[in-house]
Amino acid sequence: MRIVRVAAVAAAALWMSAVAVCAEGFPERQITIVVAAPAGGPTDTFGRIIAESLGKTFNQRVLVENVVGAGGLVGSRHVASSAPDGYTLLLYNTALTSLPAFLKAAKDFDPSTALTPIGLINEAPFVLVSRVDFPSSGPGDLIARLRDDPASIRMGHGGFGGGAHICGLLLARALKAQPNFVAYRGAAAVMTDILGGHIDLFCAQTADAINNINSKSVKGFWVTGPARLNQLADLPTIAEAGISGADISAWHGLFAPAGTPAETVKVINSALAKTLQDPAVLSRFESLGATPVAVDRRSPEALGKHVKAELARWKDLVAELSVEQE
Amino acid sequence: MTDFLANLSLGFSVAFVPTNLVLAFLGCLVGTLVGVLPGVGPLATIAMLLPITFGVDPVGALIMLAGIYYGAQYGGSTTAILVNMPGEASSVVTALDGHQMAKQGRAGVALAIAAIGSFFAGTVATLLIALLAAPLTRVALVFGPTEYFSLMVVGLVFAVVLASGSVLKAIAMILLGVLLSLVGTDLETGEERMTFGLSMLSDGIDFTILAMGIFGIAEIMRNLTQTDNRDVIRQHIGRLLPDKEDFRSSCRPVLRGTALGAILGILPGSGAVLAPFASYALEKKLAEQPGRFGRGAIEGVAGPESANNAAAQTSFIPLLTLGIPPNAVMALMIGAMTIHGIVPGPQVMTKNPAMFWGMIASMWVGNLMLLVINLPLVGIWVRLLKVPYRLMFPAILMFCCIGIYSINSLPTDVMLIALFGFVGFALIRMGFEPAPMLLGFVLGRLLEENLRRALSISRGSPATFLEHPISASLLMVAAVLIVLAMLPSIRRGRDTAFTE
Repeated sequence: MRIVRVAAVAAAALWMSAVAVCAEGFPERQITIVVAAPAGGPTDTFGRIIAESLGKTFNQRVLVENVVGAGGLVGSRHVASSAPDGYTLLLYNTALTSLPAFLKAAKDFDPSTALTPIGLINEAPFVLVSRVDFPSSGPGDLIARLRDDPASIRMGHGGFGGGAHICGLLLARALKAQPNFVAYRGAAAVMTDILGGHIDLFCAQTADAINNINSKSVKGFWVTGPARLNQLADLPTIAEAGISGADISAWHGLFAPAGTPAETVKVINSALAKTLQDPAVLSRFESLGATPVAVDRRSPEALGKHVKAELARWKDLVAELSVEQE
Repeated sequence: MTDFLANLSLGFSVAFVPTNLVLAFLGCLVGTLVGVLPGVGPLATIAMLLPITFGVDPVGALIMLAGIYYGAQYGGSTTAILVNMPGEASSVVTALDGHQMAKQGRAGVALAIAAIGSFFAGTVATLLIALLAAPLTRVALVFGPTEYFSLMVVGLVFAVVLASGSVLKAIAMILLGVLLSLVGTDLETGEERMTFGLSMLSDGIDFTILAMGIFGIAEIMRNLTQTDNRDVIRQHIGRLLPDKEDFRSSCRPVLRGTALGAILGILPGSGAVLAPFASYALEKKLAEQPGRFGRGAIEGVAGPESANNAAAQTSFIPLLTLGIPPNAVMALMIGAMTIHGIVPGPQVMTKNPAMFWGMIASMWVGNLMLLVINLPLVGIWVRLLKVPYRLMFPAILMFCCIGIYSINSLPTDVMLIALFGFVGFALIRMGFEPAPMLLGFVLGRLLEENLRRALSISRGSPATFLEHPISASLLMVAAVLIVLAMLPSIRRGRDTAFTE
């Protein structure tokens, strides 16, 4: 019975918000959210959660379309060249800002001008994990070992210029010691080889890390975000471990093509803000290890600033470490 | 043992809930129907149908998705047999002898034996998962990049055996396949290789596109050049179900295929791909008259189909016990789990025992459903062959284009299958067989990536392949196989030795 009542209240709230939003005139038809990552992955999962919730708010069908290729460049370009009417949106992640720095094919793609930011959705830090029998007693010892003989430490990542790779590069820059990078296709493959003991270190996504640290099949060292994780309260942040400038969080954001009218952006942004208050959405975020961004960072302007800052940050990183820009 | 029985009965009590039975049936049916469309494999099918499962409870949703997975896998074999269009790597082998059987009026037998072999393999693999999932996972984790590289080397040697004609031409085709697999973005440096600046090639060539073009489109072109016998299939349809003789000759291949597939399926990432190829190679080596292979040998359908299904089943092991998706379809299943609020991982077994065992039980139920759905459908599929070819080929072409377009929504993909169609036609004309090339293509990327990983882990020392015992033994197997293939006299001696 209680569930029914809660559902009724929620439905009423949604209906009222839908009324409020519909008054603006947008949307009059189906909206397509292009997810620039393959179906089934974390970005796609967030895309579907958001689409479902926006669909309820707008009382319109919100479709998810996966347009994959070239690390997300294909989907991003597709949205950038779509009609700027708010009916084709892009949901993508950190890679949007790292692509131009790492991929030659993406050099001429500038997400800060090609897209109109709508809003940041959520953030998730990485957790540095090692194989369970890696001979290191804790963060301090690991840092010493990395400085001492970095080439003997094998660090996996799930793709060139991807989150885990950047996480490793930031660490290498901060310690002035480059570990031996081993490239995989996707995070799942890296975790398999960490579990099998074939490689040493990996910047894992939170949900994966929490599971495997709790079942004692990997060792955790630190969290790369600004704060500790509730589920892994005894792991320090990377700053607490004594490394500065190497913090990184994977994020998801919603974008429209450049030139989308400001009113439309506002309507979608306020619908997104409602989504980020929905307890059902929040509990799903939590089970996936992501936290919604702070209220003061939910505006379109905040996302625009965030994108510019990240673009510059990765460009500097690539230049400083002279990672081949190919 | 009592634990095992209690778990299984818990599983079956979940799987036999009417809604779950209906979902399993629906999943298998939809999977079969969509899988039959050329070019639409399990991955595309699940991706398209994922949203349908959102309204269902998590266990039911997973049961349905698993049903779609097996169904699409089986549907893919149907297309391979009937029109020589393998939609994915696992049905390439089925097309070799299956389509030849269809040409000889034995399409019904081929389809039925594929369904029966798959059911048997599925049953055995399900039991294996229920009994030994946890210890088997530990075995799978022993395989690192070094071991995978050596396994892929063995796989390449199988590719030579696939060919029914000249060995030299087969090797040339394998190497061509490996070269084609290198097209795309380099994993370690992000550099584009052999893409000619075309953005459609930056992720490499899609397997489905290559296979559809080289096999399917080329086959249509070849049929059109042979005006006199292209309608030969519809003139005699023959029996629909296998007879005693068919069962007798398929029985051992099914058993061997099941064992081989179950073992290879456990290896996350790449083992399952090898299963049907390995089974085909094994059957051909063991056959009394290896020359029959490629010309409609029923063993060449029964063995690989069983191996394929056993591997499809056991590839759930890493997913269920570790939460690691071993392939793209499983990654999609993980996505479905997380959408439904279940975080996959080792704790699923203890936290959601009803779901865990329910899924295992439903695997068997799904296999049974497939048999129930497919045996009656055999008659319908075979009747499709009676359609005159002038009506049939435009329909096949249209479905191909739709199927290919549905995967990435890229018009350039449709143009690529036409291009590969011409290439395939030219190759057939010059007496080159496409199957070894496709295996080379599938293995090429795994071969390269694991080689580079293994070498960067060992800091550049190639001795690593001999220092790891499993890798060393695999390489030894490969060496022995090559020697046997190079010395025809030895090979003949060995073949006769096995027949006694």
